[in-house]
Amino acid sequence: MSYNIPFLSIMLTLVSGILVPLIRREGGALRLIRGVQLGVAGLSALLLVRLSGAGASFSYPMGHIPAPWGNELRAGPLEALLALTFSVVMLLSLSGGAEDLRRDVRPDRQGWYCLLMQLLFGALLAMVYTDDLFTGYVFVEIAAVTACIAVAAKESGRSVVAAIRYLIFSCLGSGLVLLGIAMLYCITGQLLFSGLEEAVARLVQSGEYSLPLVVSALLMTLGLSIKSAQFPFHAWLPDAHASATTASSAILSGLVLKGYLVLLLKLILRVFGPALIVSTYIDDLLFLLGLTGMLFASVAALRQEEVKRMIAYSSSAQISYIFLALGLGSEAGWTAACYQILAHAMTKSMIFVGAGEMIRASGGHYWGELRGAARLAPLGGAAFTVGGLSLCGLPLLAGFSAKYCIAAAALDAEWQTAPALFGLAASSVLNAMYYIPAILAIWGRARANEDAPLVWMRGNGEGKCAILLFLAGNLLLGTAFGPVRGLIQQGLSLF
Amino acid sequence: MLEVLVEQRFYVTAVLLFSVGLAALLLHPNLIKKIIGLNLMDTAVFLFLAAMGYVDGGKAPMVEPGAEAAAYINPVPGGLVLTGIVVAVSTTALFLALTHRLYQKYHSVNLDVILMLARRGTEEE
Amino acid sequence: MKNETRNEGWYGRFLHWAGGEEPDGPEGPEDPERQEFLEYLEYIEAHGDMEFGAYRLMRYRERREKGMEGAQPPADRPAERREVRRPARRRRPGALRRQLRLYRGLSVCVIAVLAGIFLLTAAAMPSFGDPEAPAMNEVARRYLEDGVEETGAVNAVAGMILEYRAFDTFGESAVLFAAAGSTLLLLHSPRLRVRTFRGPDALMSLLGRGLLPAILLFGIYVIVNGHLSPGGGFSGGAVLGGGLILASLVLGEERMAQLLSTRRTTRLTVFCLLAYAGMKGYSFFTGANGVGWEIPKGTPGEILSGGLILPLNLCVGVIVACTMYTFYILFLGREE
Repeated sequence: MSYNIPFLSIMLTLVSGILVPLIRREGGALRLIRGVQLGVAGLSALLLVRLSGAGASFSYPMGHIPAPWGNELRAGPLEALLALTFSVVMLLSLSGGAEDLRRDVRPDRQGWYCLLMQLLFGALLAMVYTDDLFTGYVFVEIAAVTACIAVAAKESGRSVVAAIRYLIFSCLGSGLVLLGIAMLYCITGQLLFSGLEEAVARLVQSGEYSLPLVVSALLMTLGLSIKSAQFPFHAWLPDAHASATTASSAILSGLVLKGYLVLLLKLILRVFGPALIVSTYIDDLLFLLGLTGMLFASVAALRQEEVKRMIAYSSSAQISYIFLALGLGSEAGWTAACYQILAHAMTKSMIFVGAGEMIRASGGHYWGELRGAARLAPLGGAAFTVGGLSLCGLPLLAGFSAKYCIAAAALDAEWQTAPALFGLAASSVLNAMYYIPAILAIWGRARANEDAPLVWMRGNGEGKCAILLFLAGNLLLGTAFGPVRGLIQQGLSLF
Repeated sequence: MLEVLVEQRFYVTAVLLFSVGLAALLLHPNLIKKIIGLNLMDTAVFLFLAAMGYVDGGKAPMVEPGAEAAAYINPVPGGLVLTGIVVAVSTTALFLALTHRLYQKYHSVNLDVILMLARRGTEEE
Repeated sequence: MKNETRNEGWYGRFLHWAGGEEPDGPEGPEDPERQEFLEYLEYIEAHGDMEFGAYRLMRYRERREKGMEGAQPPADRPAERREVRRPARRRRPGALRRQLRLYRGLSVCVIAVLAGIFLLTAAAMPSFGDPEAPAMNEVARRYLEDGVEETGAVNAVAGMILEYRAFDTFGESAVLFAAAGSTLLLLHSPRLRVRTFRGPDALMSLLGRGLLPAILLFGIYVIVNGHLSPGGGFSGGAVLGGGLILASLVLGEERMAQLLSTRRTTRLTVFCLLAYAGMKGYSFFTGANGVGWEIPKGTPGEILSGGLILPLNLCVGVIVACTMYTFYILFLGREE
């Protein structure tokens, strides 16, 4: 049974997405896709328990024909863990943003929105499980199209402008990735990761076609970093994430960027192999991009006067942590990168959902209007507070564990130790500099002498549940440091 | 060097077209021209793939049973090009739809102008 | 208070704000470039789309005609703007223009470097037309040598995309569906708009009516023979979609809207995608679990051969045709 789970979760997700136009009842679409996401989360958890218990991973041929000829999926503990986290975050983001969704998206278009989000989720699952480079590309494109529409769905002028900028960068990234894939296919003749790994190893050994090989590695890295908004290419991100509806912001920031990074990790580990990456200094490139990104994006976040833009810049900074960890080029570094992927997916979606609650309660996007907003929406405020503190690195929260993991990995690095530790420290201080005043302000009084009572009970049960679950997930990732890291290490060794 | 470039003329043309498309996508403020640049980029990759699949003296892969593989061109790049075209059509359609919406709202297809107007719009909002 | 706080650094302002003070005023210092840009924006509203360079040239000529005088700004320009409720983002003067210029310069450099690297790479690739090229390995060879036996399709490309790598193709159809859905979400509006198209003229109608059956038939032929000859669902679907667009031009949109409304094309697409998912789900599941129960392949070269390839091609063809037609109808801006 557990053998079929990857296939079942992808097909179920896509088919349920396709079914949406046939649903007539209002709100039925949202219920259907969330039900399926819950089911996928359960299945992934089952798969995770089975695989980590057995310490095994397996390939799943899509069709009658075996590996180098037919498509293939691959699942191990790490893939199952990622799928579990992604489905939980997707479900919670859609539940937490459901109220805003009903306000921001026109009723006759909510069905289409749900459909596209479900296709996006299917694409993310396929990116996690795929064992084939070209399948990866196709699903990257589905994610690009649907993520872009997630931004535009609000249909305000600003969000459409943000969506078109997002699309331009996205297309640029896909073009580079496609050219990279074409070059790699031209010199290896393989498209599956397993076949590619052997072929690349052979090419490295014989020294043939070394230039095309390096160029294709560079192109794919570059393309995926553009798509995941790494620092010099992050221009599209703040507008896109800030102008979308809450659920879209949470999904885009928490999951879509991570999907591309998972693919990048697969490319590094499964296709090119750590040795080639290290010998061509691509890891140093990633490291430097990450280091500059985490400082610059944090400084940029300091200057924002709109809450969602600040959170979006902070996302760019947190993505840079992942690049920094990938750039360490060691087993510990990849473990840390995966940990950061999980922690940031949990944390950033929670912050966006919390900010959405506060914006709805206070009716303004700018800091001036949000002062005291947490008193109107205490759970939203709590989500923002816990998320912010987690990103600043308060122990027992997810962000701290991820930072600890990165720092521990950096200690074993060669020349990267000092810069990485400096970067982590500086960026944590910068995080604190923008999150802590913001947290103080939202819990403060809106005006002097006005003491608004906390309003705990105010409708929107699903949003409250989502935030509580988010908080629990964050605490879990923060406290269960050992087991989660163990799972990631086991998964990476079976990758 | 020149000889190599002539021999590899399809690849060279493809990468040059790719660069031209890239330049148009990045530099032109006009959205329609950006879309043309995007399509040029994609088409360049298709040319690259199609050229890669060619084998000297090969026929189109309509296989007669029992034939030698060497008599046909490589079918894989053909399939990849097909997928690539479909993806390019989809992104182009989405791009055009967004442009259409922006034109309805701002009466311009110049991205700089639209950005400026959008900023003015948010300030006045 | 505004002027006091403006001289402080951004962090000082931030702390002031966090301490409970109001952020400073909405307007940054007046920016001459920005003024010019705003003027230009008003100009293009009157003159259609005009490049900034052309506008500058025109202004220069205007000034020269007036004897090097600075041109007066148009009198009817709205001088005051509406009261700003929210604190606007502070921008340095000319920041947008400077950003754009920096962006352009950097892009040119990056593109030049990339083009150089690409040229070197192209020269280092396996030579063109080489039968020994790395891409012509055991994978491609098996598609050609055993493909007919394993898939029952004479067309190796159709066999490859619909049997060996069918998951990719499912993803591809999903991309098309996602694009159609996005376009619908962005452009579909239930309200009727003003008609822009006034029926076909006589010549168009005559030629169109003559061509239409041939085009539709050809599309269907390409789809149905996808496993036997070049073509298949995607190419045939595109022909069919073109035929539908021509039909809409010739028969008039109203009649086509009765025949094929957006709702109906969506349903057709959904139905075909579900059929595709069902068929391929069956073959993925049985294949991966080693159940057997394969679909009989038939005699290669016959029309009823190739197992699932023929129905899959039909589904793909309908999806592509409907999507193309939906795009056309939506961009036309008229609905139902």
